[in-house]
Amino acid sequence: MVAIPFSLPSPTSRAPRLLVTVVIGFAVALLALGTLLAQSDEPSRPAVTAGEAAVLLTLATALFAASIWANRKIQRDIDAKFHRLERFMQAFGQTQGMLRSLDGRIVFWGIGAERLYGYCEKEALGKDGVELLYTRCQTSLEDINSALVRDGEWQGELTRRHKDGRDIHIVSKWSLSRGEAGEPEVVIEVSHDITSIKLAERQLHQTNALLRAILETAPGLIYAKDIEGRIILANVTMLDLIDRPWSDVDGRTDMEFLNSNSQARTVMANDRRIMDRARTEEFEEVISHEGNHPRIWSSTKAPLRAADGKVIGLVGVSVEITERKRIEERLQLMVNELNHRVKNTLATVQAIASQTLRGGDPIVRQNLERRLMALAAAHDVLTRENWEGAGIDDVVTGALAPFGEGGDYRFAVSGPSLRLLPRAALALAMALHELTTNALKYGALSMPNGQVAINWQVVEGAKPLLRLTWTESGGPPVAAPSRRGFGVRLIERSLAQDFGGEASVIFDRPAGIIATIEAPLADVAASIEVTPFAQAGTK
Amino acid sequence: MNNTHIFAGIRVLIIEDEALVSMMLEEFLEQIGCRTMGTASRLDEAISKARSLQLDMALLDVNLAGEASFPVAEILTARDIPFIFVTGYGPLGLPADMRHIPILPKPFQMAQLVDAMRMAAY
Repeated sequence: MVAIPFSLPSPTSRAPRLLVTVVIGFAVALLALGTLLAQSDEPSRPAVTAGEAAVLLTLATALFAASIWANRKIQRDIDAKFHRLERFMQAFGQTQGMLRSLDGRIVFWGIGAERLYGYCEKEALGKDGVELLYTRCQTSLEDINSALVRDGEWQGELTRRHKDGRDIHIVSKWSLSRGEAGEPEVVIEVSHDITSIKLAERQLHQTNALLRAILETAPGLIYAKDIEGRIILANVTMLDLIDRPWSDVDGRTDMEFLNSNSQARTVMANDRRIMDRARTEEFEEVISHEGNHPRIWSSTKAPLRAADGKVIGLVGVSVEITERKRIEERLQLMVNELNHRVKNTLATVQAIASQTLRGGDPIVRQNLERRLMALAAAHDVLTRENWEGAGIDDVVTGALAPFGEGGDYRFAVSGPSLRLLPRAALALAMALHELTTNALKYGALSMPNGQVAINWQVVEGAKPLLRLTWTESGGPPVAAPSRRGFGVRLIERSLAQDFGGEASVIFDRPAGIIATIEAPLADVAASIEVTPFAQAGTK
Repeated sequence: MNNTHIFAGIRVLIIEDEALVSMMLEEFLEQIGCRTMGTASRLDEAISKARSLQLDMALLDVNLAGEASFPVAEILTARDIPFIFVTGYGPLGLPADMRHIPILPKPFQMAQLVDAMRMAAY
């Protein structure tokens, strides 16, 4: 039951109350008269007959009964009205409303208020609302009260404190209720909790501030465009670059503010592609400005989506890489020059050898020449790969290529793809060259049906190993030479050193030569790295 | 001297700035019976010889002491004299309009020289 501590409007109208009073008065008068007549003993006057008394009594009783009936009806009326009022107050209570007197005391406290502030009815009633709820407002409470008396209502935001100590932000509407004489009687307060909205607002504000800070301090260009390619956001760096104020850029396309139309078309085509494919891409863009060298940018652009996921534009970040590209190009030029020099030097060495060995043993001259060629072939593989490493299959194929005239079927090559470090690639190429030369002269390849199987595999373990085997078959019976030749020593020594592993050449009688090379994978294989710019639009 | 070789008797100009390589080329050519009409190691010298000598073929080093030999290539093309590039660079070191010219990559063996010359001649 809610407390209703202020005077209720009169529950009954004046007319029924008057009627009841009159009826009761009339009944009492009749009773008195009847009693008086019945008790008269004056002989001069005839006494009231018993019949007359009975009529009077009946009439009085009837009147009395009627008055009780009327009274009950009024009570039912009152009850019904109270019931309605109670329901109304309960409903009002649900709305986080409260009532307070003009001096600030809380006179009504519903379940909604309890839910909002944490205090129960008993704790709140009669207390000063401002004190209990630690009410704070940007407007002074005096001003609010005077506005309330002047206008009859006030609305605004308040900060209050929950019983558990946390601050609650509310928006509150206060209305002044006046008494029958028009005197201010009670203040009706209906509030809504906006704490979470306030919090979201503050977070939004913080996010905006953060975004602004990023936009203003990031060294690259940051921008957003709508689905038509019109700029909807650009940071200071971008405005500085194109040397225009925001008002000249807002809502414009690249066609309108870039100097070169062809560059603008390329940029817009890139943008179109990102929005059409709805996919983030990274690529290079070239932008020229009057009187300046073209500048190269690495742009990352991502589709901008609406809440429903539909692409409505794009956001992009571009970082200048002009200087980096220049260095890269110079480096590439130097690498090319170096490769050229290495090949020239090899040619010169070959020429020196050729002159020196002129008239000597043609076999010796040929052997030297072939070794130089093998070295050059391995260099070719590495040059193609920019000296970053070489695929093991390329190295093997390259080393065998000069001997492939008899038909590649004589070599059975198998193994997983793997990138070798330059040093390991060169050592392997030379070793394969020696093995092949030897096989052609004395081993399996000296016979028409001889074959060589070249197989490599990664042996998993705590330290994974690369194991490569060269197995000859179908050759003449082999015998270990009394002196290990240069080729064998080159294989064993060079591979052991450059592979950081072990190599052995076994003259397995009668099957043929079996060479095994084993090295820690980490020492010979280049890790597979994806360079971050190896994407669309780059070389 | 091998006078039975397909290139026996043809007149060749060697343009190569590395003396030893130039000598080796001369020796290789001699072995297949070619007549070396002249050698050049510098661009100006190469240009004048490419213009004036009676030639059937030229071997042209791409880099002559730091200068590209493409002007010589243009003269040879204009005179309709077949030639090959002798180079440590790959085909990507050549201008786009010269990528069809046969390349003899350094270092090379006799067989590769003959292959390249054959490609240039036909």
